[in-house]
Amino acid sequence: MSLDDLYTDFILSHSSSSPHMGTLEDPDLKEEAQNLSCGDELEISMAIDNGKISRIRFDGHGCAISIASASVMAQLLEGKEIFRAKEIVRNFLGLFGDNVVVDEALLDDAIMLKQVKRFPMRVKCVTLAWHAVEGMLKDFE
Amino acid sequence: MPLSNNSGLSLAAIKEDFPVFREYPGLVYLDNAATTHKPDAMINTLVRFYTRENSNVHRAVHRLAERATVLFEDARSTVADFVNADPEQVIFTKGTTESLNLLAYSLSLSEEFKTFIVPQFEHHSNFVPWQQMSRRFGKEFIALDIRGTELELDTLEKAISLQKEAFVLAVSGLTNSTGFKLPVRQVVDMVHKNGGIVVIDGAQLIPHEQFDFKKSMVDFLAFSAHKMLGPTGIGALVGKRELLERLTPYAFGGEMIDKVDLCDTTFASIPQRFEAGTPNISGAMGFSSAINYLDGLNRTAVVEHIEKLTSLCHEELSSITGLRILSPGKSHGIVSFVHDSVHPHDLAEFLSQNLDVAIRSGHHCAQPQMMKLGVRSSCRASFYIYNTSEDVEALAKGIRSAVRWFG
Repeated sequence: MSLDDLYTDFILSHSSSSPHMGTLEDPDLKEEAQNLSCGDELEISMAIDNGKISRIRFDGHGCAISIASASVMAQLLEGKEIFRAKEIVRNFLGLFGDNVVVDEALLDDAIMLKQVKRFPMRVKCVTLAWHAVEGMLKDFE
Repeated sequence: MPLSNNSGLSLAAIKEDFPVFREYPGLVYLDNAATTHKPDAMINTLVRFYTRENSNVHRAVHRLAERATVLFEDARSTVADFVNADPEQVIFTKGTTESLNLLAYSLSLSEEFKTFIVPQFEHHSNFVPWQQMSRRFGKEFIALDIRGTELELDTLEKAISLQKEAFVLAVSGLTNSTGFKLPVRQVVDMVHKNGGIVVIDGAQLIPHEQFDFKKSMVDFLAFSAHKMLGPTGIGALVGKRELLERLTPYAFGGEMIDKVDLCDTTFASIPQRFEAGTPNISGAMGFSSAINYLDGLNRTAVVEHIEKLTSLCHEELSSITGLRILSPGKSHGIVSFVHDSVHPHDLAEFLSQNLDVAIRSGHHCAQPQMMKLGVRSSCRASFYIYNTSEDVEALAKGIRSAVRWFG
């Protein structure tokens, strides 16, 4: 395992700039995600229209892995129907669980974050934003 | 000056005593404030105990039990001698955290102490117990302001001169997040003059400094074995005899009682009163073995060696563009820092994966201190007896390549 396996070009490019970084002025949903082990914080905001996530933004402080993952997530979830978004989030988090059957086709580019599983100390970073969204959408059918 | 009393044992020879460096010859271990590595002698003590001496203590009369009890109490004496206290003043705990929780709870039960004062730079283990117990028991809790990473004596004096009744100041002798060293003697004098008592969190201080508990006039001292070559899961609370005797026990069970009847129980005398249940017997042996190893070194030379590495680290890191050192100018054994363009986790990951340099990244269990510094997390390099100037150079070189790589 080398550093290039963790910090792929994909991760480095997403972490250095993301069109989804920022906050929404009048979001329908807002959530703070905290990584308790390092003090990192991401704020996720969402606008919901007709059962769809019309806009999603993230902002805050995090390492390259957590920022890249938030960026990939926002790109993937924006425009998706809520039920579909929940399915995607559940499958993504499943990548880092044990013995979970995952429908990788749902995950699109986010599948490229799969290799972080080989770095157990960084799983919290890669799942930070996704756990926040999981909580934000939990009350939606 | 040679680091050892044994005919000038070299630094390289010290490293040879630690099997981890035989396993990983390239390892540059700079996370000693989290835990240190263990010498063969300490590991062999644990193996010998379980092979030849294992038994419960203070209970049965058979030969093994007698042997284990004698060794366990010898270990207590070794720990006591190490900080110049009497064996009865040493309570074995799981470590600094349990020592501080025990104290925060037992002192909360005392009507005498009305206020708990804790500086904002404390490790959570010396912050949260006091904060939570004061809420539960209606004590006043003061999170004492700090200047950057340092406690100013003026601030302390102002806070304690307002106290009308007895209070507790709980403070680190050496802070884990930045390596600020407390002027213990001045603080103790000031607190005693104002009617308070002083609890020193010695988790970082005791591994580094030759500390004289009696001479220091400190009221309580907590420390852990694993930060000074010993095993995890064992530590000590050392207290002034008259204070320990006044404290109500924190946990109840076997070995801490005097007489139990259906309605009430009287408790054993110190230190057993605070050691409910079967103690960490092998841990105590390991603790004592680690102390014997340290005692075999020239402690003054060890302190000088670590100070030299710390100032070399300050020097090397301050020449890196974009790097900010958070530790005070004269920190002890610890240098904390952040870089403008590389997140601490990414930097630490790079150093480990590419160069086998182990540092800590995160908030170091000191979130109020991090808030004060305006950062969420930082990198921390911390030194111990087996580190060398090459280790510091490897760190500095590694940071430079990480900045280039992520840049």
